[in-house]
Amino acid sequence: MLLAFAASLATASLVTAAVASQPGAAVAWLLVAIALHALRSALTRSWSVAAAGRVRDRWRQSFAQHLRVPRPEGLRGRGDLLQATEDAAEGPDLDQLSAAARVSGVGLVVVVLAAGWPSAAIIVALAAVAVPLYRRAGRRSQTLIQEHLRRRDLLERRQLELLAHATELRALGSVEYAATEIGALSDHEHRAAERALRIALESSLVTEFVSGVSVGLVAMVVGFALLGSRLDLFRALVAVLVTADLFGAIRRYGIAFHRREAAQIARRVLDVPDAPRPPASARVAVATRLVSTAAPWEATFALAEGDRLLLTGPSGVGKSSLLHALVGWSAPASGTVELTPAPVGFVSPAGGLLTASLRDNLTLGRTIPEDAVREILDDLGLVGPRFHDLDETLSADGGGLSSGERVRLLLARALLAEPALVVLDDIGGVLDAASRARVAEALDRRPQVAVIEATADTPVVVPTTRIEVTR
Amino acid sequence: MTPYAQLRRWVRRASVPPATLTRALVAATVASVTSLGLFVGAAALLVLSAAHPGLRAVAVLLVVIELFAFLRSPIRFVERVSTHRLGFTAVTRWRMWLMRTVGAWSFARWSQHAHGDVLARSLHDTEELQDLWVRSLVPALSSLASLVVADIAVAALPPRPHWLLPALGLLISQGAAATLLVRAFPGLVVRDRERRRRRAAFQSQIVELSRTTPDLDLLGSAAYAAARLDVARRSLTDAEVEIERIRTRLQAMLPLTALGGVALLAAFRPVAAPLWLVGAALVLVAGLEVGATASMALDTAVAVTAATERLDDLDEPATERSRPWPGEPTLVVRGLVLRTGTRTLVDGVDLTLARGRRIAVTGASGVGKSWLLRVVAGLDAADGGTIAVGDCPLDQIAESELRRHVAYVPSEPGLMRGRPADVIALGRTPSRAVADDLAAVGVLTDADTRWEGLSRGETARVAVVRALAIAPDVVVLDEPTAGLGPRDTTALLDLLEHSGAAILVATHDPAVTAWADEVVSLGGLAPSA
Repeated sequence: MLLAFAASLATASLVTAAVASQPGAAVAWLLVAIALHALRSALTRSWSVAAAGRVRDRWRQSFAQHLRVPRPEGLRGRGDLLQATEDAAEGPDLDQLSAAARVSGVGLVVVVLAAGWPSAAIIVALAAVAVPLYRRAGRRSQTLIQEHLRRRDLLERRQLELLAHATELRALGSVEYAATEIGALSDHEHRAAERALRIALESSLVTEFVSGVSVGLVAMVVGFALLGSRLDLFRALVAVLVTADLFGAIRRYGIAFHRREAAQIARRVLDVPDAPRPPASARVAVATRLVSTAAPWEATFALAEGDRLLLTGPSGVGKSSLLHALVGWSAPASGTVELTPAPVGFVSPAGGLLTASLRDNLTLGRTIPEDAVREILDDLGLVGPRFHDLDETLSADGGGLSSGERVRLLLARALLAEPALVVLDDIGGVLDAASRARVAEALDRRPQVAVIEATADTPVVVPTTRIEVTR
Repeated sequence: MTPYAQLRRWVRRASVPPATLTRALVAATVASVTSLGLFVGAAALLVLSAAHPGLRAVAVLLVVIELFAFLRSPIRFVERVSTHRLGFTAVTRWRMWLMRTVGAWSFARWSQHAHGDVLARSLHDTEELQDLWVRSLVPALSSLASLVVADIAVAALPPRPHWLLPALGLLISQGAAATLLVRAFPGLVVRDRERRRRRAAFQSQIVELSRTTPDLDLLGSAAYAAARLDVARRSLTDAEVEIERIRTRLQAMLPLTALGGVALLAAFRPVAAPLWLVGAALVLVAGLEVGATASMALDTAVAVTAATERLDDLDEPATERSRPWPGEPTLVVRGLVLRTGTRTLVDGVDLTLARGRRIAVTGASGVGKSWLLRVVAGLDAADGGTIAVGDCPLDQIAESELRRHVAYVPSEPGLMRGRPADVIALGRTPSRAVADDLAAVGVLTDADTRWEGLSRGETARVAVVRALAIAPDVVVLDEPTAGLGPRDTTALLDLLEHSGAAILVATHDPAVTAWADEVVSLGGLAPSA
């Protein structure tokens, strides 16, 4: 901001020198004005870009923490985190605008020195009117901007969902329907954006008017002073140019004011909540009057090493919800859980692999002898050319693997981590009878592991305890 | 294709309404010229006042300047609304284009792309295109126009003819700045392409780890997931820093181009007509602001070009298929071969699917059941053999016809959120009583039902009802009874049987193999019943 004032002084000197027929001085001042302009834009730009980059990088580092709790399919793109990071990255730029607006007070002193009190009084009076107007405009457009963000989020979620099931859409002959839906959601989003834009622009009409009036009034006052020879040209130019700079800074800050709130909201989104970890237990798992969130029924049990608990019931009764509450991914409707602090293997057909080698998918970066890895694969019937080369790359969606193979790989990954508890969420349905038998045998060979299995009608383990839920 | 040609092609492809474009360009140009005029005019007024030309002239000029100042806002308003509309129209069109393009892919093509990557393309890349007008074409063209107007004014108003020289100086300095920007364009496109690639990789990692991290966290390997994300993050940050470094260098060079103009003004040393000299010098200073706009326009053009490249990647020439669904709807598969790499999964399978016939495909996990089903449903290609309906090869039947007569239910169906009628119809007109079908498989609904988070078993049943809704001739199902209890399985099989369609079902479920008329076992293993 101070550089902007200095550039204005240089411009005023340039004009004065030209009028006084001193071309040499005029050219020199022209050079100074250009240099100051360039310096100002380079400094402000490089500072805010670098600071925004640092903020963005810092929040991105925290993303891994946010991914520890599973989210429904449409939300896995984590557009909320990415958007919040972009909003937060605006923070330094806003701080800079705010600092510039505050420093513009210095401009007032310059105007007083150059053109006396009347010009300064005009600026103070109109700024007093302008600032509340800027804030009001910011508040109004902020509500609309939030509506816009909400619609954008809706569009993003639906788009991820539709793209993830593109083959199914094609099979149903519904691609055109999906395209139309995306078109409608996109129009919806744009209408909200346009409304926010209109409000912002309409408000800026008023604010432009105020700043126009102040520059005009100051120009008039100093113009008359010039005519009456009470002021020289240099001082008059300084007063007008600095007034324009000063209002420019306040206006930019005023218009951006609402973005401060977006940046603050973003920080709340990005702050990592403590994952709800169940308290540690001496037993492998203890659930007391644990009530599923999906339907009102409760389970009470305690598992020790080697126990096999089978949870059966029709689909949709809330078996998976109960398992999620058990491992701390969601809060139960009521009840308490204590869980071993040792590793827990959660295996379900919805579980994911990594785009990495077969070895990395199984060892997860730990050093495990190849023999141990091969032994588990053999135990689970994962043999043949596809599982021969441990360095072969797998794709995250398990492309080329059947659902049954994928689920057994997830189990192999879990068993290699030497868990105290393995949770099997409805894996029987994607395994053939031979594979189910192999999985059961593999688990039997690990008597130190406790197992909880949920299924509608295709259990894999032979239970020591059974909980049956009816609709 | 050069970046310039690429940009031109996409501008043409957007085919925005010419009236909106004209309004935006005119408004933007008038606003830019007004801004420039205000800057120069205000200074000129004061110079005039200093020269004492009389009170009236000053007052008139003051009124003119104020009028300009007030007019500028409404003009900018018209410009902004018009340019945003241009962008909105184009973005919606491209988002729909992307959905249609991805929706026409074969399964093999679709599975090559990580979902996060396609999402990044469909959201961020199309959105960059929106800026093409708002932040690039319209500001660049209007700034250029305002500079041309200023140059003409400077060149036309000199008190003596040979003073055209300083106007030439202005032109040279502007030309140098423009050349600098134009030459920087292809290099920046290359860097930006890399940055975009890395951002997509980062987003893919988020989608992938969103699904995997909870499991890894329970296994005590959360740090491993975090480390994977960290690699993608670092690589993205490096690319962002690199491109910013180049931009900063370019920014630093732009003001140097103004020096040419200064040199000519200095060399000329005009001694009279200070007003004109002031005008020329201020146009030079204002040119710096225009330079900043032009450099923003350049950044946007770079982003748009890189975005269009990534969208072009998704494009695939459509194959011409136009034959209607034959009157004799028996689907016959002869000698089907499926290979992956060097391994032959399916070798010479024959199937005859007449209406009412039920064929189960069994075999251990990974023998190619799902692939076989997708090939029969016309969603994937085979490595050998023929599939025909009556006397017409399957791959010559028009896509819309095929989808009306052949239904396919994947092993993990999706798109299950919303009102039941919408979830089932998905834009089609059901020819069966959907509510009755849902009730028949034990999924109860009423007028107020909204599905959100259906269980695996419910999803499986709804997917079958959805496939049957348009009464297809052939229904292909991948593990439809996984996760269902015996009662639900029976209900589902009854519904399929009463539909009268030819059924091809991949399964491990003994209840399904017992229900089928014929069991085809892949991989040389006996069916598990």
